[in-house]
Amino acid sequence: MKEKLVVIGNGMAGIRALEELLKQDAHRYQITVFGKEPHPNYNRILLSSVLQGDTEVEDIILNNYDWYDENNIELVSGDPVAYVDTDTQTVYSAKGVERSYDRLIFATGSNPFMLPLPGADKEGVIAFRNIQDCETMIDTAKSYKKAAVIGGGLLGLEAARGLLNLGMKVDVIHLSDSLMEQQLDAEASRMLKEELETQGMKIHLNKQTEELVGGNRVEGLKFKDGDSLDADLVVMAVGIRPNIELAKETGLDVGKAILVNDHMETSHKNIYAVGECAEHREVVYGLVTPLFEQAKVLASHLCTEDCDGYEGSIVSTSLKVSGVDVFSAGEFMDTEETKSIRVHDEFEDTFKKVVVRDNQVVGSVLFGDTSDSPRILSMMRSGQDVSEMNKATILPSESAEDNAGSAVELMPDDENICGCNGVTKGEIVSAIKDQGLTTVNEVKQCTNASRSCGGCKPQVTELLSLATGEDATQAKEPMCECTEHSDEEVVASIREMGLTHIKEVMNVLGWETEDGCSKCRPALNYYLGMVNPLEYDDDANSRFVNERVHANIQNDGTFSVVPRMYGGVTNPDQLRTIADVADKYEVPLLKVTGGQRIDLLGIEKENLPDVWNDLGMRSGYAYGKGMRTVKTCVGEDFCRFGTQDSIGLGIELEKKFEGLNTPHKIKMAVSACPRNCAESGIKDVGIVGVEGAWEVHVAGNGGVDLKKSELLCKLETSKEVIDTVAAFLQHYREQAKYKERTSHWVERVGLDAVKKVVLEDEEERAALIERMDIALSDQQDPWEDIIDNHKKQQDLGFEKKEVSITT
Amino acid sequence: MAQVDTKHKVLVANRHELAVGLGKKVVIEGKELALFLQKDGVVYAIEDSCPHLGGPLSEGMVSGEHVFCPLHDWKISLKTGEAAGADEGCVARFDVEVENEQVYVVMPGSV
Amino acid sequence: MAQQKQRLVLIGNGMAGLRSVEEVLSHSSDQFEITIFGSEPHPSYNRLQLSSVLQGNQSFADIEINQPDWYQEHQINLRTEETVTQIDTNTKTVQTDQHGELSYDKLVIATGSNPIFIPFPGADKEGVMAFRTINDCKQMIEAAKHYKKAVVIGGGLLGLEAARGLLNLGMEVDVVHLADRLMERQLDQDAAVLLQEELTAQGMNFFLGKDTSELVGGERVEGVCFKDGTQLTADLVIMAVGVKPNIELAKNSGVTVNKGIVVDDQMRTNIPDVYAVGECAEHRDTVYALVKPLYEQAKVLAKAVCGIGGSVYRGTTLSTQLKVSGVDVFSAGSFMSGGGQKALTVFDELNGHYKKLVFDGDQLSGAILFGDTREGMRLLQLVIEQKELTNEEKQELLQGSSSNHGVAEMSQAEMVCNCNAVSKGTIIEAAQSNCLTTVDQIKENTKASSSCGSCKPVVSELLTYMESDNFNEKIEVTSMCECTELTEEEVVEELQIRGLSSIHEVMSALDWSSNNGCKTCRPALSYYLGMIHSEYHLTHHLKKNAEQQEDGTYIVTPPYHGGVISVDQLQRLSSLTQRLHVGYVVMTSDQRLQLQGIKEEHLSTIWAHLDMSKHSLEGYHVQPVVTSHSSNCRCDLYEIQSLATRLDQQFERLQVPSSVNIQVKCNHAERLFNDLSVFWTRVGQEIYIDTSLFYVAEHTEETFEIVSALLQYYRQTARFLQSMEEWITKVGVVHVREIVLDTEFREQLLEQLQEDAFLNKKAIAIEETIM
Repeated sequence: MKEKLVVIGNGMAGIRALEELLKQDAHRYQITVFGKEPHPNYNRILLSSVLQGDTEVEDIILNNYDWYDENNIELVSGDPVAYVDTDTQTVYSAKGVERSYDRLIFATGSNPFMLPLPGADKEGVIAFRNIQDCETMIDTAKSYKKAAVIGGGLLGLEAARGLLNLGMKVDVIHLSDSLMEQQLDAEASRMLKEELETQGMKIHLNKQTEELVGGNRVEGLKFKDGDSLDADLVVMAVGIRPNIELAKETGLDVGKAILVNDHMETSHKNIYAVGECAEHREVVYGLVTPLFEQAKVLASHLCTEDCDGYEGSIVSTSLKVSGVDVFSAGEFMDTEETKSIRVHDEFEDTFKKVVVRDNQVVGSVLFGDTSDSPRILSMMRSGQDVSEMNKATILPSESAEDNAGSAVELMPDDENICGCNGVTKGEIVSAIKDQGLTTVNEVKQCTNASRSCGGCKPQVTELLSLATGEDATQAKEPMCECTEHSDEEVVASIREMGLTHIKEVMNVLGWETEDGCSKCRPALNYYLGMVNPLEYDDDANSRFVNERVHANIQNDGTFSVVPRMYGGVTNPDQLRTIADVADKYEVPLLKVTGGQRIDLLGIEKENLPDVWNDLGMRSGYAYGKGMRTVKTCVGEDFCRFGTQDSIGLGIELEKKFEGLNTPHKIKMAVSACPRNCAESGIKDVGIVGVEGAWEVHVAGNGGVDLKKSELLCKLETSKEVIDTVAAFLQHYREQAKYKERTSHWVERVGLDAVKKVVLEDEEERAALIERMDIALSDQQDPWEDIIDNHKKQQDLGFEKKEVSITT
Repeated sequence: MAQVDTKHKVLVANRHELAVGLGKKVVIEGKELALFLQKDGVVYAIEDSCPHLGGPLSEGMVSGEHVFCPLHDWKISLKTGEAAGADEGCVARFDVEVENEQVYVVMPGSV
Repeated sequence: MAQQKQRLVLIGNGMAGLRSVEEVLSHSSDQFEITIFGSEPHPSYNRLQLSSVLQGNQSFADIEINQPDWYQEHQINLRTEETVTQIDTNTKTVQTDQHGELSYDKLVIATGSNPIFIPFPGADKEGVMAFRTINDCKQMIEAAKHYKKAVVIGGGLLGLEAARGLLNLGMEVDVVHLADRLMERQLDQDAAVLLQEELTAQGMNFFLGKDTSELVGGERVEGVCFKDGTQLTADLVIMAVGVKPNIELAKNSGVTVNKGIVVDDQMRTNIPDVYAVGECAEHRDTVYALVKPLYEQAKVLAKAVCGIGGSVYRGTTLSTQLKVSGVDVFSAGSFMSGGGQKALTVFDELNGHYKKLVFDGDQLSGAILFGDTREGMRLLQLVIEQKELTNEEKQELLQGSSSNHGVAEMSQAEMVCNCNAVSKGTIIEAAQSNCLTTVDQIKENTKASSSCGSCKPVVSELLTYMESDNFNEKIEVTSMCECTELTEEEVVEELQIRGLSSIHEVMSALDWSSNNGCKTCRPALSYYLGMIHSEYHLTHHLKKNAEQQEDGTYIVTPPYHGGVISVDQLQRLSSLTQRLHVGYVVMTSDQRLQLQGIKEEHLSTIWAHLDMSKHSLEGYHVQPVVTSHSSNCRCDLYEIQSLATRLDQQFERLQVPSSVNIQVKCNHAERLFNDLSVFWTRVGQEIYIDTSLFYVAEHTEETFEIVSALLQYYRQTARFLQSMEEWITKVGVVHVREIVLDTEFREQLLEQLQEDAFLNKKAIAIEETIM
């Protein structure tokens, strides 16, 4: 016969105790849980995320009904316990359910504290504590506009942010003169206030509410100083009070809450208390970490009776408001006995403070950048002597050597990442490695890390990135305002559903605008052409003017024309032609460009087709997202340093990739020697001749966003160079987002990943080259195309239309 | 004194000359206008100069009742001439009448 | 027959006056007959280090600036304990309290300032004094022998230094301050608290927010009473509440005064031939009471007095360092954040470090350091340069290097002694060439640490570093090359003085050890000779405006200025290349067309047809000016092009010390930096030398003038092979700015440039006719 265990309270503390118990000894007890709310156990800390719209109710359910079934736990929900008979060891529920117990756990949690103000019973006055409150707020926001939150503490601010997200106007009323005064010092509190005001909250400090006014429904607040405020909804978030009525009636010893010893035992034999309803060593905890620590101790005790007791917790707080990172722990105010380290950066709006007493860290406040919090907590717990340390060792994020690795990377393995659930870095890393985890969600399910408050998600994400070498920070980003789909999703849909034109994509994927916008249309046009190079009919109307009319528009409305000159080499005949054309059309400026071409500037739009025709040269594509020019240095023919035929290779490359559409412009260069006259080091593709070989560098950028290119590989023959460039460019074409330069793309996916596909995976390399050849097979010179096509000229508006008024 | 109504209609194009999704620049006595044909046959006419830096709107990308300036991507309403979103500014708009496929712009009178 | 010397009279034997005289002597040692009047019975001493004497770190002799024999040596008539009572500016004479009378040609007023002595009731009692002179110092030392309890009124720089001195003399010290924090003009709240904590730990007692009402006692002071009714006992009361310029004499003599004696940028007063300098002078509404501005003023004043024009004083960015042992405090610029300014702050109570960097936009506008002030000079430099910093640079400054920015990491151009503008390089150079091993030797030789003395630790650290194995920095005080013992500067000087005009002449006149020189000295000599004599290159070079290749053919790059070709030029080029069967024409990465594979016999035809002059390609030139623009902005492409074209034309044939790459770009184009870059932005045209912003011009014409003058100044003053960046680091961007931005100087430079260009052109023309 199993022992009978009854838990009063279906909240986080009680259930956590059961989970721990089941882990240690799954079959020892026959378990019954009584719960007042009609839900399975959920993560109360994330209620504010539900309210803020970041999470759904289902997402915060910690243990669904199946879990109770699987573990043979009887759940009596929606039915609170009414009476405990300690003599017969029996509990009775309100609806008459009766269970006897061998061991009984009180996990009744706490209730929100409602101020007994006149008018507090009106409709529209609520607390923020359970799913029902949350639902009330969501409903209210649909028909009312003005909310007031009483209480500028953690809970109040989270509620306020949620209401803001629901589209309400929010006033926060706080009795004290600074927000979260229990957790923050004056400076951090001031910064928090500024940030929240920027987000749209109105904050009233030093205000004491006197009365809630209105009819049936609340209509406003009156303050002691005579001011008043309109409100359709009043949320009271002034604190919680332990739920100990039943315990009192049962005869348990209570102080502020149910008194327990280090083994969570109450004054009565076989009766325990855990969580927010328990008072341990004169402290009642209202946070999740201590609650879990207590649960662990209680479970051990229930199984073995002989185990280490609970010694109290060091608590820390993080505020879960989007756009605000706040962390607070321990004694964070300066006193006579403490010394502190403070770093305040008004550029980044960050503030960090670590308080030290007797050479030990005793508290901290972090605002804006909380990445050091796990380390600080661990120092607080261990009581490490910091007398020999400086700010960089205590606050790793302030270390000057950012290359030496992030704060997470530097952490020792036994340091906690998830403070709530006590999961160490080592545990997470080994879970990722041993079980091949790839998402934060999987890590959460495997290790519990980030399962509770979610504050450590960034660190978990970073660990994932570090462990897998893949960037896990890539949160989904919609393509533009017309859709919720990301670029990746859209491309995947085009491929999977075989979509073939822009309108179709918009219809199938539920675009919110009828015709898209200047962000999605060019992108879709590109993706469709990239996926179906031969079948897709380019949509000129979805191209920017430069690409549509194949010339660069200038700020005076005229255009510039750059004819193709392979490798920057021309001849007397071409020069003669250019001179004649410039003469004929009175071109105001002829200029040799930095890309080693000749630019004819100041040409009127209506003259463009004629200019092209007279030039008889191909388009230099100086205007588009595509292969621009291949810059060369003079090479072995003329330069005394040159070791390779750079002009020859440059011409070959330019001829091969001429007219290729790419996500963003591609600039190439070939230098004959490492002196690098052609600036190969800052091009998308830069080839450099070295003794008997070519180095291929990729992903450089010469713009405002200067970036040096990285070495992809070293090759012997020009054929290999061209193949490799083809594979690289095709991979870029397929993987990069539209308007993403090679430098950003490679930074995002990592050079090693690119190498793997382009160089190492022979099969994929061959396939890339083949797909590139298909894409290139359909090239036609756009100028030629337009010169012979009067209809096109008319459609693209090359003709000038002058109207004179005759009256 | 009675005010003389000097408004007058100017024939600027045949509707066939316009294409949906592409602007068309016309010059009326030195004044540059951009015409936009909509799917439903309506034609809009606005000044061909973005309120931002004077970019030629006739060369911009057209999405329904908006055009995006080719220089800095300002979004201008064809209907009202006003810039959308965070940008502030407005271009002149002109009434357009279509009779027998002929497109007329109503020019305000000059004094 | 010696010329009658001019009479220079100096009123005031203080630091500013003395420094001015030293500067005058350095310009012309025998132009003046010099008389100095001093009220104190001492030769000039370093007032700033009085507190060191008081603190017992130095003796009186240590802080004398010049020994009595120095005056004799320079035939200076020093009249101590004689006070000038009247200046007659009409007859140009001064009268003294010793019934002396002396006429002057030039008069310098350097009367300094007096301590402010607040006339509290009882302020005339024995034991109440200021802290300003050696005499005060002596009295304090004497008082400490008999009395125990001192009160210092004033919690500013001077008050705290005095307090620390009294502490060292074994007295109990109370510091009384009117404001609610110490050094409120130099420190913010946090730094002031740290300072107070530190000084409290050293044994001082502080009474802040205290307004003194009366000094009580009998004959001798016995206590201080405050307006709030409290009081302190005291045997000695030091008033250190500030100084006021000593302007009575000037005022009574008709010299215009305001807070101080009003002077212009040349330190001239409103009266002809009367100058003022130092703490008694008011320049652009500011009266300075620190040593650095005073030295800068002395420099300018000396030039003005000697009739060397063009030197201008523009005011000084101030920094302060407190000289109290065990306390390192540094403050510079404006440091109160708010009002558009943003601050980065680190406060490490654990180690007693505080650091606040205040930025105005992207420029460092002020800084406060407490606890570790080694970075002070570097920060001050940034404040002065007003350099735009990237976010990474800001972060780097913040994280700084409380530990790693030691002397080893300092660049050689970085200032060690800010007062006297002595760089690390100067010190190493002096130490190496004169075998100096002690701080005192360095001080004597370079003046580093001779003023406020706060850089002493750095100098000593530098000396230690130089002796360590890690030291491998080389300062080339070596000769120009193996062929001579003379340094490059010395050679250039000789060229000018002796009027040497050929390499051969130089070598024989200067005793070259080799017959034909070497590959180091020949090009250098050729360059310098060319700079001095425009026609020099004529006779000494083969003229070929073409580059010969290994295969014997030539490359010709026609001068298409700014990379722009006219239709006419292009037609001529195409005809010519067709006619000569030039295979192909290549476009270069610096935006020019290049004809390759040209046979020697075709060169003159090409030059003739393409209007090319036959100037030499040897030596270094301004490289083709590169342009770039984007259609996405308001910039006027044609304006950008025209600037590039003009610059190209201007410098086409002129030699420069080292190749100069110039680019002219609109702000939207690729922002790479060259030797010299001009960026069009919305506010104006930014001129950069390498990556440092030099100036923002308002319009193209200004840009053209400034760039031209800048290049000309570079041509005139840089060493051969010194790049623009090296040059400007060496001579100092502030100095170059002063020259180039000064209208008069700029005009001079532009005229000289025109002249050089003209002579050059003429020389080439002559050459061409000969050919």
